Amino acid sequence: MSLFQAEPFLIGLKEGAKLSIAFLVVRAYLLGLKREWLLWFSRLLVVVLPILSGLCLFLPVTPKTQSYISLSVGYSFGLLYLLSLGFLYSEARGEDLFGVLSPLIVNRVTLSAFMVIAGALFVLPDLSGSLLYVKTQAELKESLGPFLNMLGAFGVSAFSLYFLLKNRSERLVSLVGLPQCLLVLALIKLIGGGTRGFTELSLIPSVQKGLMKLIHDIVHQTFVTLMVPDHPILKTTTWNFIGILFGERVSLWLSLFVLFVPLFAFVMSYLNSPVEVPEGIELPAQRRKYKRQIKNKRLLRAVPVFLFMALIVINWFAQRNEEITRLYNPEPKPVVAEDNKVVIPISSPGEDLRDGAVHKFTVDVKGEDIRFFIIKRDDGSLVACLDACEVCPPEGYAQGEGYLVCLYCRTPINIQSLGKSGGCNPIPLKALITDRDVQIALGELYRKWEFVKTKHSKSTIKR
Amino acid sequence: MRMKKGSWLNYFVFKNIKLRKGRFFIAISAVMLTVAVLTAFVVLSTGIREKMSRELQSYGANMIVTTLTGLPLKEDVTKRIVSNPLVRGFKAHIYGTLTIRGQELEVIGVRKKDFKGVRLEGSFPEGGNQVIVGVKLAEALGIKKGQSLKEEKRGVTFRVSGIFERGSKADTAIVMDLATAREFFGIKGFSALLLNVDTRYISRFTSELKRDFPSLKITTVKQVALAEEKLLKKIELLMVVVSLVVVFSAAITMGSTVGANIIERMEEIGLMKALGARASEVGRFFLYEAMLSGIIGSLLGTLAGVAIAEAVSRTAFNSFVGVEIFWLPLLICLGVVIAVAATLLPVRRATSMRPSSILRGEG
Amino acid sequence: MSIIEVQSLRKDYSTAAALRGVDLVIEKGQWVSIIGPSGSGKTTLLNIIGGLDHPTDGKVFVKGTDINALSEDELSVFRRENIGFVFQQSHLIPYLDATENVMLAQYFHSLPDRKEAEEALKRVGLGHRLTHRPSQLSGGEQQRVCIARALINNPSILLADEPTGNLDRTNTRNVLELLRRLHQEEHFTVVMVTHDPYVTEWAERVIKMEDGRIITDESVSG
Repeated sequence: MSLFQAEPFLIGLKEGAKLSIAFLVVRAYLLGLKREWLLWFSRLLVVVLPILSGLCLFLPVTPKTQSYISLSVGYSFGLLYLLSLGFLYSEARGEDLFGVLSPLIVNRVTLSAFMVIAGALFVLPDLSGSLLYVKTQAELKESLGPFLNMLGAFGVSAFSLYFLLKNRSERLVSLVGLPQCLLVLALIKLIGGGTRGFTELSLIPSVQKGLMKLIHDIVHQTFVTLMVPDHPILKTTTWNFIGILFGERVSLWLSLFVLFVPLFAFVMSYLNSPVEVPEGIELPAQRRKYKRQIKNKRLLRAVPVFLFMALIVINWFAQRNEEITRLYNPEPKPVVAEDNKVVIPISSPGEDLRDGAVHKFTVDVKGEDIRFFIIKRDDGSLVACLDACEVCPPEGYAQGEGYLVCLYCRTPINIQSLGKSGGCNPIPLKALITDRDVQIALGELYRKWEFVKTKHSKSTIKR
Repeated sequence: MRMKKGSWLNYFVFKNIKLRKGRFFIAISAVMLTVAVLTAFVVLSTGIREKMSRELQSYGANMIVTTLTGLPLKEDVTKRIVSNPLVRGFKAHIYGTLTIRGQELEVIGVRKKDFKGVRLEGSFPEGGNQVIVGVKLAEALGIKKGQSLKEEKRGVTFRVSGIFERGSKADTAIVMDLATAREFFGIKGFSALLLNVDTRYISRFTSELKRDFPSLKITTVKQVALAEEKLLKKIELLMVVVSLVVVFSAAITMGSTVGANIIERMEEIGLMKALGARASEVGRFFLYEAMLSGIIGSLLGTLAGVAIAEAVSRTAFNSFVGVEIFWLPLLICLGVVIAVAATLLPVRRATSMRPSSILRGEG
Repeated sequence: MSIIEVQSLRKDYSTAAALRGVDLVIEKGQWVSIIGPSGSGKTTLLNIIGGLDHPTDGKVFVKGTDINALSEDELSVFRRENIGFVFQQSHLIPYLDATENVMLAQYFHSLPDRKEAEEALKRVGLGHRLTHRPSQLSGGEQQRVCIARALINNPSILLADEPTGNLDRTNTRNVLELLRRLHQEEHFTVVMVTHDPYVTEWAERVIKMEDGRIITDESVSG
């Protein structure tokens, strides 16, 4: 086995670069504020944070930890983004952050606390995710090679970048205010995130998914409160129409709107807000010159914001071209029960339950064709559900990109969340999942299917 | 009323354009012409690619799928391969051998509808124990239409319902109906799948197939794909050369228009410098104007280009070509870049002159 | 420190020498007239002081800055903040009205401000001509727009090259009286090149040039 391993090495390079860029940005900011004494503190953080994330290595690598770390990367990005937005606005309104919060922020305890939070938000999730990924690699190869590679690359890139950019970063001082500093960190996180399966951060899809869920819930709740029960009353066509609201296209545009508009509004109001000329500048030409200087400074400070906006648009555009997701709705495959249970092999010629696609089956129980499906969740585990939910007439689900869609009410269901019961979720089935097959008791299938049927027929009667 | 710096730039440039409409139109048309030609070429070349690969489809299979083990392909695997949208057409074959007159002869089982582009004397075997024989084999063994052939191993007799000529290796084979062959050789799936895959995505398709079904043996028929590629490459090269010429001439037109404009406005440039404008600040006016003409020209140009492409396509292919929206923003950017780049040089030269040599007003 | 200091200035053109060693010191707030026949080098001297031209040899200090050491761009910035020009030809942009012509100077200095520009035009007596194009203005009015434009950025030096060269006697008088009024209000330094002895009557100091050299330099009391 060769000593050099490209993947962990690259990961190390990336994380090292991120750490040193983050440090440099914070350093430039602190120097701009003339808070040199805090530099020692941030240097301490540079040492402590990697050690802290190193503690993650004691966690077991399960899909659960994996998804938690992915989530925390996403949330930390969101938090950085929102924080920077908040500060941007306080700056746009002309109130310096330190004007409002001066008694708090000038105080070294709060500023340090703030730095701890920002640093932790920035470094911890990403580094932990990368470390965990390298850990799986190391376990696979049964050697410490990947770790050594990553550590080496980490050190090399962190130090070389630091010394390369150290002197240049001083020039950035004039450019970097707190909001810009946070935005730059968010930007780095966005570009530099993405260790496979661990810290993947895909901005547009995740915002899109979140929005889809949110809009759906709002629309759904409105209808639920307006007219109970909602689903049986409205016809499928109506639902198809309403479904457009929480469809992919709407949320795609909305995600652009949500990400782009606050920044754009900030830039516009920031650049256009009137300049207060201080007393003592009497000559009109001097007053104009002062205004121009302030405006130039603002323009310069808006550069990171512009960059971020450009990135969002590019990201969005790239995503847009990819979204040719047709719904996948396979014919249910008839299966036969034996010993009062259905046994479906995980891997059979021509079919593999773990291929990520939805696998539908139908089984005849007491003259009823009961439909159910088995699908692999994002974390790799298999889940079996009835092809129906508690609310809609049982039209079943089709698969889109990363979610299932109820064919009746067009509700998108995140695949990872399958297995939860209630509402629009497909009704989960108790199943015995072994290495070789999935076994579901007929009684379980029959009982839950009957529940759907009776519920549906009752509400039809009501109407 | 206070004016913002940006809006002043707009105002100034628009006033100037109003004064020199003719010049502005020349600049616009230069950009428009270039972008139109480029757009037409891009649309046509992407369109032709698609068209040609569709026309070349009739050339037949460009990929053969069998199993590594030599066992027949299963029915469900076949179905999944064939349902891939990249597969434009397919034929399923069954291979076997018949022992006739002491010789092992190659047999191909094929559906009637897949047996096309072949000269056939007689009729395609319809059920029963019928076969058709390739012309070369028939000559070599002296087989005639209507004759009976005795399979010596299994002791079955086949009637020759026809002689076919394809002009290829297949002329030395015996062909029977797929269903007959299945029954005779006792094969459940297929021996081989001959696919016609969209040539543009052949490698992607291959790798996908290998990933999904590692046990398959995939052979691409290189000749067909290569011939297609070569022809397209030649056409594209021609287009690139013509495009370069067009871009070059447009840049010259643009440059000379701007040059004339600048000579006319020399006094203004001198004055601006005397008022304390930096060279870049004076240049900004001209570049902004160039950008405007670039944007307007490019927009009109893409429209004109698409129209030209459609017209050409109608005369050449008798059908419309699809336009890939993806290209249009790129082409518009290109038009703007050409306009600005052509302006840059004359503007640089003019704005770096000393104001005193422009404003000399000795009395 | 004097506002303008010229030390042994030489300027050679390919055909002849325009300046053959000029030394000159001008104090802040002075109104200096440079008079001489055509080709005496007076315009060249003015251009070099204003940074519109470079000398072959010698030094020019304006407000203590060695302007020959500045780059072309730095020179532009220096001009916009310290120097206003008035030329013989008005050099107004023909497609902009009077106010907008003044605003152009504001734009290159910092920000255009229409109200301030209109104010400045009113001060030179053109309150009724704000939206007139240069072609709709008389020669005297054009020169007054030029004065408003030259002074809009509160320069400390006004360099005027034959500002009344194209005007009749009445208009010349009006323009010069206007300049005197503004000079008294704002205390900028005036260096005015002319070949018309009448114009020198307004000056505090008259410098006579001939053949690229200063011949006489006398202060006029009064």
